Amino acid sequence: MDKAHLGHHISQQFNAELEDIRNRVLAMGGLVEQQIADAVSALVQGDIELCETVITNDYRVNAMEVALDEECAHTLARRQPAASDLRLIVAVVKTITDLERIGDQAEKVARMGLHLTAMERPKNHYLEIQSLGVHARDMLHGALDAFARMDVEAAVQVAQRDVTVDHEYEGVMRQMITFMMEDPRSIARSLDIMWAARALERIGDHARNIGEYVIYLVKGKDVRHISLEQMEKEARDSGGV
Amino acid sequence: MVNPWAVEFWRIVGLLSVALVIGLIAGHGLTWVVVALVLYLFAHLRNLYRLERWLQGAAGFLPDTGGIWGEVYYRLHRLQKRNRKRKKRLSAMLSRFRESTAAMPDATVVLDADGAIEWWNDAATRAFGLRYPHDTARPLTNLVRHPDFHQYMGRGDFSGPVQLRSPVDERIVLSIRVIPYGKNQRLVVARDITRLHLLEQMRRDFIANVSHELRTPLTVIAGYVESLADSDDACMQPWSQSLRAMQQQSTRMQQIVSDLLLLSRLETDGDEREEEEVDVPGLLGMIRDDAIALSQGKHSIGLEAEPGLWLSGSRSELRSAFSNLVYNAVRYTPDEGTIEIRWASHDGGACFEVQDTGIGIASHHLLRLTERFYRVDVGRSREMGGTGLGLAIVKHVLMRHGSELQVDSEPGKGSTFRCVFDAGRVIRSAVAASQAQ
Repeated sequence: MDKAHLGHHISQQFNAELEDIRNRVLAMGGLVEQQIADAVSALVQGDIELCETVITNDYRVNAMEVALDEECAHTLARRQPAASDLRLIVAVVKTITDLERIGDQAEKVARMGLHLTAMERPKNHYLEIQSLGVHARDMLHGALDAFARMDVEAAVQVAQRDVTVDHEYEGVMRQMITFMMEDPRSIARSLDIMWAARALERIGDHARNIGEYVIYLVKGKDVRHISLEQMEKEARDSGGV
Repeated sequence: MVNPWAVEFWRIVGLLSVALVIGLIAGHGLTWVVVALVLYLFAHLRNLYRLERWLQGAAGFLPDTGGIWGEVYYRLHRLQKRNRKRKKRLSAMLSRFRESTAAMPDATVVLDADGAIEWWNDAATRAFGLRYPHDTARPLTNLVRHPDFHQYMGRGDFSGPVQLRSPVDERIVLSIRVIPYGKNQRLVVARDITRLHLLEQMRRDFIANVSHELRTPLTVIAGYVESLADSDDACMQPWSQSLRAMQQQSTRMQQIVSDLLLLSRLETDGDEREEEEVDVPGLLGMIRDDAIALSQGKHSIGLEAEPGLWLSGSRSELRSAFSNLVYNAVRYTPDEGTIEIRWASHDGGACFEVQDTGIGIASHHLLRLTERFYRVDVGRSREMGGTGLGLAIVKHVLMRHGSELQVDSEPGKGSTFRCVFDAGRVIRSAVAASQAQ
């Protein structure tokens, strides 16, 4: 479903509205991507100022969600869209909810970053958080690219990467548990790192959700809560709408 | 060449006369003429049919039938050949043009009026991660989603570039410019400035670190030199002159280091800083007093300041900029010279001016005057105790306050340093004005 496909309405105004909604979702996605990147680098570098910027910027993400939500409701009421247009609106409403949650998780990472500046920095300079952050951000990047391009294949790849992020998260947990057992003084720090890692892992899950909405939007198939193999099969199936 | 119309005419005449002759011999003359005309019409129809088929398929050659149809076929053939040639030439030109744009090292994307991608080169594929042909007709902001870029595209003012990290690779820093052209079309050009960015960062860090590292040992040295110079010990007597010189030079070095630190702070701090209301006339009064102390009565220093004309900005920064300009005037004006400091409204904004009757500056120095450590006359300015950083500081402070330094100077006659602040920064303080009156 590309631009040519969206441009099939007799009403030019409707086309413009749909295009505008899409553009705004992606703009919101861009902001959220930046929030994740800033939050992770603020935590890793111990940059208090950047942490605070991320925390205050979260209101922008929230405002964008509210505005988009309203616009979608208006479009539903006024145009009563059907078929692929309806799916677009439904997918957008779900996507922005996930984006907003990702924004909250980024804010959480920044808050943990603020906590951690007060403590001694570990020798590995939060390498595990950095690597997890890069993965989570790449997943969201891939999901949004898939949304922009209506690319089912890319959406499936996002779901595949989620497995890696989950593994990495488990690794961080094990590592932190070991640290805490070895040295009870490091418990406060380890807990904060665990919270940040948890937030990043959640970001991965939300990104996977966005990828699933893309598959729903393009193929008209609900691929939630099914195994990865089944999802791949459904997505690559040439049937659908 | 034979006129085709004549051939056609003679053909008709021949056909009709043959029909007439046969008709006269066999009787029913009119019937024969009609038969001849029907035949003639059929021949035309056949030719028309062939032409129609040919136009549809445009394949093969049209047979040369002579007469008017032959001529039509011939002309059509020529036209087709000419068009083919022209098309070939045009497409060669186009592909040459595209090849040359594709070979450009800078990422280039052509956008239409709606911001949708029309065309891009290989470098753009790498810089923005665009994919051919999926991404044609897709808005560029959907794929390059950085908030700064979004804002930049939405603002519609493309006078300056925007810097952001490549969506493909975090390590690459891009400087993106948008050039509007034609009918609402836009050209997006992105340059990889990663190296430049790193160098710039290294340079800033270097200066800040060096200055910081130098400050501590300098303070220690200056402290000991001072206590040695001040001691009444008789055995220090022979060294007193050297100690004075050492003290002077270490003070100067401290001055340079603190100026360097100030400069690097001005450079690295973003635009976020506290805006306060600065009482410029009061500030200039203090600077004038300091200047009088510095000149030790050798110059006449005048001040004309419009009361109540305040600025919004940073007090300490403005103070160092204005005082640098005034102290420079004192340093470079021979004894008995006059220095005028003016502060007045100017086109809704405000204008600060320092005019002296000093030695002046030759015009070829003016462009480089604000560079760090640039000296018009090396020997003289060291003698005067300058750090070589004053005007660089002035330039940065003014830049942060949306103004710039203008210099008029004539060697031997004197110089005028001027800066104009725009109306948005000026505050007219009614209270201060009435107090002054």
